[in-house]
Amino acid sequence: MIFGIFTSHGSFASSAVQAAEEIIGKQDNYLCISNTNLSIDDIKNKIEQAVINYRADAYFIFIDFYGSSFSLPAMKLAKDYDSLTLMFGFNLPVIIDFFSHRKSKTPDELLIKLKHIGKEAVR
Amino acid sequence: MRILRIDERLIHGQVMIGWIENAGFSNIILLHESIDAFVLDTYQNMLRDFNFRHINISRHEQLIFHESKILFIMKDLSLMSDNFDILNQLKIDLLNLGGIRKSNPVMTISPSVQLNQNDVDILEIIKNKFALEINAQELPYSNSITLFNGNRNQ
Repeated sequence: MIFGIFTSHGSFASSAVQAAEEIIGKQDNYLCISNTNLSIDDIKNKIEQAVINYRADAYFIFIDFYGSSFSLPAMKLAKDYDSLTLMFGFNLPVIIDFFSHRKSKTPDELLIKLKHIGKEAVR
Repeated sequence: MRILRIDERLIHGQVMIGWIENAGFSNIILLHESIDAFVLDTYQNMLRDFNFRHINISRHEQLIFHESKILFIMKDLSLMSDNFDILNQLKIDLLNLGGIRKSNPVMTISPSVQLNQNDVDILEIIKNKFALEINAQELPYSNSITLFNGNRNQ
């Protein structure tokens, strides 16, 4: 099982995941983190605590965009934890595809698929 | 225009999108005393399409820049406390407080600017020594709170 950590400014991540659940049903093994009122250290601690507390084979961290305040903490953690995969930028089709295929694909396979889906979905 | 932004988050979304992309500050200079090489490499990569430099101010006695439009970024006001002359060298028009959230603040200017006594003392010195506008503002087009208009006679 791949655990999903969806991060964003404001409520974008939690709202997007909620929208995905309205389409594909309630999901588990995921967490949404907003940066509202969090320092860079707070963000790093929150993500790291999720990795420590939620046992999974691998973790996907979805970051709202490359360069956002989640980027540096996530990249630092990816240096320390081999089980983390980072994806910068995500949309509703990416979230739906993540939940639909995270049990059947390896993290590398899933990342390739999600990048493809994310680009193809915008037309 | 040259701005010195004090932001504990350094390079992040507001800076990337608001100040660099939207306000057009393509010269970005990170001033620091010590930052992990990994962090600097990451910032270099994030800002590869812009003129990004980083300078360890403890190793430079004289700072000279030629561009007229520069966004300087510094993590904390305390980096200036031993070297106020850096404000003369940078030749800035505005000291922008963008993100300072101290625990046990003695002055809350906005949700993103909460100062401790040391910050207040440093700002008082700057007000008394430099004709420099000081504001608290997260984004170029968001609400700006002027803390000092730069006129020492007022």
